[in-house]
Amino acid sequence: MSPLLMGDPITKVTEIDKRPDVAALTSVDGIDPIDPATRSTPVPGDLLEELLRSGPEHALERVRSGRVPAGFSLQRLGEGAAANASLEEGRRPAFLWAETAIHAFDLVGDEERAMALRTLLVTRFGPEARSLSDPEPVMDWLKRSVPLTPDELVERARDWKEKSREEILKLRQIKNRLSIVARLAESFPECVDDETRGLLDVRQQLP
Amino acid sequence: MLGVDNSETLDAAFELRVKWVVCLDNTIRIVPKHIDGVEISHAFLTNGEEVLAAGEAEIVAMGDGDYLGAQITNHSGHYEPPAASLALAVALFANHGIVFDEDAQEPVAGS
Repeated sequence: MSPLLMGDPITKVTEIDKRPDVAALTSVDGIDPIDPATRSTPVPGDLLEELLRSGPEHALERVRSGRVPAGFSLQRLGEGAAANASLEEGRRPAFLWAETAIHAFDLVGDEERAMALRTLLVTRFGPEARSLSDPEPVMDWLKRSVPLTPDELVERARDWKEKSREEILKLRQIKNRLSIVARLAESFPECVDDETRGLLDVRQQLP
Repeated sequence: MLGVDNSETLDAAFELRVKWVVCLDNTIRIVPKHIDGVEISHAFLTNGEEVLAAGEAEIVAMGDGDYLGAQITNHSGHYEPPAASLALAVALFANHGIVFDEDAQEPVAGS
């Protein structure tokens, strides 16, 4: 299940080259960059590995039942299940992995990831009411999380470079959310109402 | 300034939220969090190899090669890096002219 199957993201990796003086940066706030003890290795997580390898039915049943040990990372399970959902070619396994991921994201309050995954399902399998590929929850989420008219958004984005970091960050977060819906609008414009289309038109004016 | 000749490349890379890693040689690698709607794993940046730090960031191009570090976290489901590792990344980004003020740093509990 290589991510390369979904396109060729390697072309979009940007490497910021090491500048000469970076090598001299051997200690930053007590962290020695060459100390192996500070290295982060991929987290093994036996149960997580088991759930992600055992098939979506088992993983979904487990996350639904809440039978996970203390310290188990639902976020990691959600991200792993979402990755599986994006790589599965079959509709049923993709939906089961997606349901697992969305359930896990709901439990940890990561609504944006859940909506991005729903949008992916809509664009891959088509809009279908009352299913995981129903665009309605995505549109509702956008209206809840960006409660602005297009004119209000234009006004808020005006001269954004003069605004505080906090305000620029809020505008960027709006842009991130709009980008999720923009994918949906590209594939299925009929799913997007005029108000939302107006917000999407403002997207390029945001930081 | 950033070791990337074409600033348009960086501007495009920072158009939306990014994931980043600090490799063992202190090189920073970044990738958009989503490509064609699919979330990209940190493991993709490294082939799953060890890293010194990993996380996500909001970096905003301000024009003329200036960048605002709007937010940085050490969130990575793949690596679950310790919160303390964020300081290294912040220092390395600053070395490249991308400054994350203290308020922009949002460490999360890691492993």
